[in-house]
Amino acid sequence: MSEHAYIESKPKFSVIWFVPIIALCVTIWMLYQHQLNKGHTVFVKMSNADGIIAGKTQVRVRSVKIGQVESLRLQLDQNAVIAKVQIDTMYEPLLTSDAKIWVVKPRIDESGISGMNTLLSGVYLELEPGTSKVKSSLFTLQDEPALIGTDIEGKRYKLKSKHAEVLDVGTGIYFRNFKIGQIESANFNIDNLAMEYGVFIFSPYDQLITNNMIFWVASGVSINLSTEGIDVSTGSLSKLIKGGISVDYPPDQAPSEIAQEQVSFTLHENFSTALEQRFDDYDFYLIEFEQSIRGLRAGAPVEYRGMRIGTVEQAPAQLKRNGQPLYFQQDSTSIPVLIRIEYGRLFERSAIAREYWQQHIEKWIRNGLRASLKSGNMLTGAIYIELDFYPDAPDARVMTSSLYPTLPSVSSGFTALSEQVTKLLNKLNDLPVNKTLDQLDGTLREYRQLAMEMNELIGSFNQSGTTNKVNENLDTIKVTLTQLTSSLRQFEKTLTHYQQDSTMVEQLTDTLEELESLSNTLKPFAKGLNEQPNMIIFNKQTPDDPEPRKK
Amino acid sequence: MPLNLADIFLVAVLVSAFKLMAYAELELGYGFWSYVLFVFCFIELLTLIDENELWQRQQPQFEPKTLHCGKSAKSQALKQCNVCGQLTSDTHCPRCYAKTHFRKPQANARALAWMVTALVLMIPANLLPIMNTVNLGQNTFATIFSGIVILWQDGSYPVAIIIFAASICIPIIKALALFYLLIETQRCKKVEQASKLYRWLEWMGKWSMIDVFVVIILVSLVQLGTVLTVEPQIGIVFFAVMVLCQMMSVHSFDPRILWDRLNPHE
Repeated sequence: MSEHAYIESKPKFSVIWFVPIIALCVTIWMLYQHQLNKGHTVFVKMSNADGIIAGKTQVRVRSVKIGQVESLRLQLDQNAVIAKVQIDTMYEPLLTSDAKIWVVKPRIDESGISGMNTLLSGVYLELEPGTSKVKSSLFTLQDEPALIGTDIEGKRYKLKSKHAEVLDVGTGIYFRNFKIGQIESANFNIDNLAMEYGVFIFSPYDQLITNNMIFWVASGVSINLSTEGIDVSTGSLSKLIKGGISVDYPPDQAPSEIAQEQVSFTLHENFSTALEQRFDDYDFYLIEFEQSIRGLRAGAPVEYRGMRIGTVEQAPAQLKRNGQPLYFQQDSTSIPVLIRIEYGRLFERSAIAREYWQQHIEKWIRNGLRASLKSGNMLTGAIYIELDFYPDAPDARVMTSSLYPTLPSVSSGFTALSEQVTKLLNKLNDLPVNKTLDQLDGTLREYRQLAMEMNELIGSFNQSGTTNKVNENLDTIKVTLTQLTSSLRQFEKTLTHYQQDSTMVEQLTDTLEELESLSNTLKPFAKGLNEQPNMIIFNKQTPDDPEPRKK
Repeated sequence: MPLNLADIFLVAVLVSAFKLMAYAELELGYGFWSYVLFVFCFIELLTLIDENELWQRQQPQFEPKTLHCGKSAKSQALKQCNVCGQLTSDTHCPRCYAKTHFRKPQANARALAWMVTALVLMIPANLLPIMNTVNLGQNTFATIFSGIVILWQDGSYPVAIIIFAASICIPIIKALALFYLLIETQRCKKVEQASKLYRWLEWMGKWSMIDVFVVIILVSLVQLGTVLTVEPQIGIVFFAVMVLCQMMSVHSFDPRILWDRLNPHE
């Protein structure tokens, strides 16, 4: 029984071992890939985790998921919640330090209703990457969504406001009622007690923003009361509800060069103050008044013959030297008022106006340029400073001994008025009324005597009828006529006193005119007195002009 | 090795139904019950079929020579055809012309290699998500274990236990058992027990496929756009490949090797 010879080759390294090796490679590669994709851990700090669910809430960029909240942890010491967020590795470049992150949830605002899809799916975190190169791993959740995406082109500017009401983030910025931008941020600066707004102007309207632009708060409604009736004008509806910021070139000014990014502008209360306060090229002058400056407020106009050239800065001026009030150190009884001469008001190009002013001010003062207080509004008692030439004023110069150059002043207003009244009364006293009346009386008496003599004459004619008598009478008549002639001459002389050009009539006319102007000046005062009888006792409280405001 | 997965599929349908109950109300149609009936009939049918008899009918078994009882076929230089079971000493089966071997070629090495592969794949299969449920735009990734945890938290304890047993316990037990068998081929101490273990392993192999079927059913069934969508994830591929590797491993193993050492001098 023969058996087959089996030749069995010793099995070499089997091909089958490639299978686990391949599997190992694939596994390692997959796990590595998975770990890589699992992402980058960042932390988001939030004040409360309303609606955010660990392991579920997503982080999205433009609604594309880039990560997920892994866990939420309460931080007791900071009163905050720290969310641990896994961001996919491929999206790691989006985690810039200036990235903004906020919760997307249903919101209703003036732009409409947004985030409705989150009603069912729950909230998610929206991340808006910034432009910074620096990466960050700790973010703070913002309350409000970022209004302007980083991809929207435009420029950012700053607006500072000390007076204007607080405006919301998102308030539009309008150029002639066309929306060109909006407020991006609003902060109250504690250091200088001013609101600071960050505004964003969309491209291409950023080309409109030049350095001489004026910004003011545009209220929704403007009511203009004039002789033609009441004119009510409103802006767009959203402007009516939320108000807005208007921006425009100053009237009569051409746009200057385009403003750089992050340039700071001043936000004014309204258009008129915006116009007034844009004159940034000015010099301070001091005026010392030897009279009451009651009614003079900061912001009151400084005018030259009705043309506004400046603004009252401080009334009275708080001048200090070495920490002490300057006027305590001087032996002065006058009240200092600090004013600004704003060259931009004199001429559009303020540098030229400044040069002109500074060259001529000395000469003008030599010629009698003086400052005086004038009543601008009898009703409110507001007064302003008027510069005018008083050729008979005592000589003065610009004094530079104080902190600021000082302009000379003359008394005016009520002080001047009382002087005028005194003068007027004096004149009245001086009038030669008695003398005139005496003369008139004497003349009349002479006439009566003449008439009696005529009577006698006629009687004697009737009795005698003789020539002698006639002759005698004729003589008498002759005498009488001579007397009459002299009487008439005297009468004529008296009458000349009352002629048109006579000094007395002139004085009387002047007096009457002065009286009339005085009564005119006193009329509003009397009217005010009529409206508010306690005006004399109590301070006249003058409310500011009504200004339409947003609620 | 008849790979009959109909019963596994039935279990997977039930598990999927339990999982879907979290999102929707399910009503089982007649088709489901007829499928249940089909599964039972099919399994019964498979047990009734005798493969050898079919081969016998096709072509009667070729009798090579006189056989000696009590001696292994190998010692009598006889090889059994892996396909039809014909005993022969030729290199090819005279009945079905398949290549014949004394034992499965490189049985231990292949079994070990497949099992090592399976072990390697077990890591990503368990770590990576197997499916992603998109519910209103919200992605929920589930790994095998997190799926079990969710089922357990939902109160579906039996289903959770079945999945846990099928997807986590069985692969590990299979791996351990196969290593034990491989050692046993060298030691030859409890050969009978090892043989029983092997038969059990062969039967067990397909049950791990439950999770794969669950994912397949859910993915094909739940496609409701943004409201509810289930997407397969890479983990299930690793898992399926791992189960297949284990089955390959068990298939490559030749239990006859267990007995060869008992009387090597014959």
